[in-house]
Amino acid sequence: MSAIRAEAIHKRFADNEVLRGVDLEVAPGEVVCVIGPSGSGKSTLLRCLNLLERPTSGRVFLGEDELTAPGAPVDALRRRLGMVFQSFNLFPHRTVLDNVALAPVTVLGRDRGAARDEARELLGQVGLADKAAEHPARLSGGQQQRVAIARALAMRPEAMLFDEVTSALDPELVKDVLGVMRQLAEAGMTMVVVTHEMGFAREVGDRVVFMDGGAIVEQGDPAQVLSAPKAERTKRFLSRVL
Amino acid sequence: MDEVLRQYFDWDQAQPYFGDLARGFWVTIQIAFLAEVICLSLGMVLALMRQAGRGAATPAGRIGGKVVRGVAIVYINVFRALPALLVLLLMAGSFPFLPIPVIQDLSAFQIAFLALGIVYAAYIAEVYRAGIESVDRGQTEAARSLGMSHRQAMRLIVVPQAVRRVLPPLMNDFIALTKDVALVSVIAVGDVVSVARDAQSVTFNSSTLVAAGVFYLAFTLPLIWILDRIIAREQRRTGHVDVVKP
Repeated sequence: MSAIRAEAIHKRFADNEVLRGVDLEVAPGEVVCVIGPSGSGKSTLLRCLNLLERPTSGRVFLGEDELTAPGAPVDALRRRLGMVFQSFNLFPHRTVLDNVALAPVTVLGRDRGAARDEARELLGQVGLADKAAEHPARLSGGQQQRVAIARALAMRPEAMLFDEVTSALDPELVKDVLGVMRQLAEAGMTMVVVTHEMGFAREVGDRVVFMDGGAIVEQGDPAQVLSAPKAERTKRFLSRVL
Repeated sequence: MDEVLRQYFDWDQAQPYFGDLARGFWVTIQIAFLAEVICLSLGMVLALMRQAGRGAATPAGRIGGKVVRGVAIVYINVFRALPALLVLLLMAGSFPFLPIPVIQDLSAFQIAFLALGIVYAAYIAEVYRAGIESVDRGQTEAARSLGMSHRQAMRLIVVPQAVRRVLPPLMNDFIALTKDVALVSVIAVGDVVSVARDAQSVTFNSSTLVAAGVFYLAFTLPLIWILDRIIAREQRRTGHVDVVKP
């Protein structure tokens, strides 16, 4: 049983067909890195996986449950997937601790005190225990992104989606965020990572998926795809970014 | 020159009315605050109605949302287009004659703050809407990705940020509302402007109206000062300006 399965996903915005029939299966504990030029549809694919974008057609499964089924309890299914965004999207009116503890209390109905204790623990894991009382605006981008990861983890998700999470960061802050993601991968988290970090894809990814023009062009073992790509399009892309 | 000054600043003319003016201003303040409570709450209801159906997953939800949005839009546009004075006169002139239990028993005072609250709710709804729409879409997406419903995302994430941002225009509208309480001087509630005007028509001296103006200034200038403080505090706390200036 795969953790996440997308079948024949099409997504159209007005006249623009962003996804042209994408199939993707992610096994439990697998780290899939999705690479490709901007506009290739990789972020849209990720957003279709938790239905932030509703696919024009196609089906998305989380374990045995279909998110795209008519009348599916989308809110309840979506909370099983954690998501981290390029622009962090921390809640600026709440403290760092509240950012992490809010959804477990309001969505899962967990005890407030227990949720806050757990939030402190998670902040410790991402190296930000001392920032619990701050507001997000006081944190650097890298720190904010690590809080965002802790916030998603607080929901105890079955899998995590990362949408170009280091693209908005200063280069020297990228390492901390990737370090946290590496820890997660080593702990066995199922992850779909849309990224431009080829080094991360090579070292941490179990599989690399190369997308272009709204479709998957090539996928496979990171070393193979990144070092000895088969498709001409993949070679062209990699020769430009590596 | 002396006569000019005396027309406006004759303490002896105004002094006998001072108690009446103070009582009148107390009426003005009460009407302003009660109307503000109504327009802040009704305005929020209208603003949320304008957002209805956006998170709906089913066709029925989307159609229902359209109807609810339509009702809110009609209300907002009608009451922004009508003069507040007309609404006030209409309500004050007709309600006592309607065979409807609660409505026919409303006092002039109650009609005064209801009318202003109903009219200002339309403006306040638009202020809230601007605030709600100024909150980045990523905020809603983050909330939804954590499993929050559309309603929870609005209540916990979007609306608190929106309200904070529109505090300055909300206070600005409160100041405008306080000044518009002068409109109720056309019905018999004894607000400060009607007291001052009645006195003026006896003494042919405008000092009581000037005194009413001083009452207003004593109330609204501190409000403006508080408003500036709120903006400054928000700037210090979040490190940048994200409040909507009035």
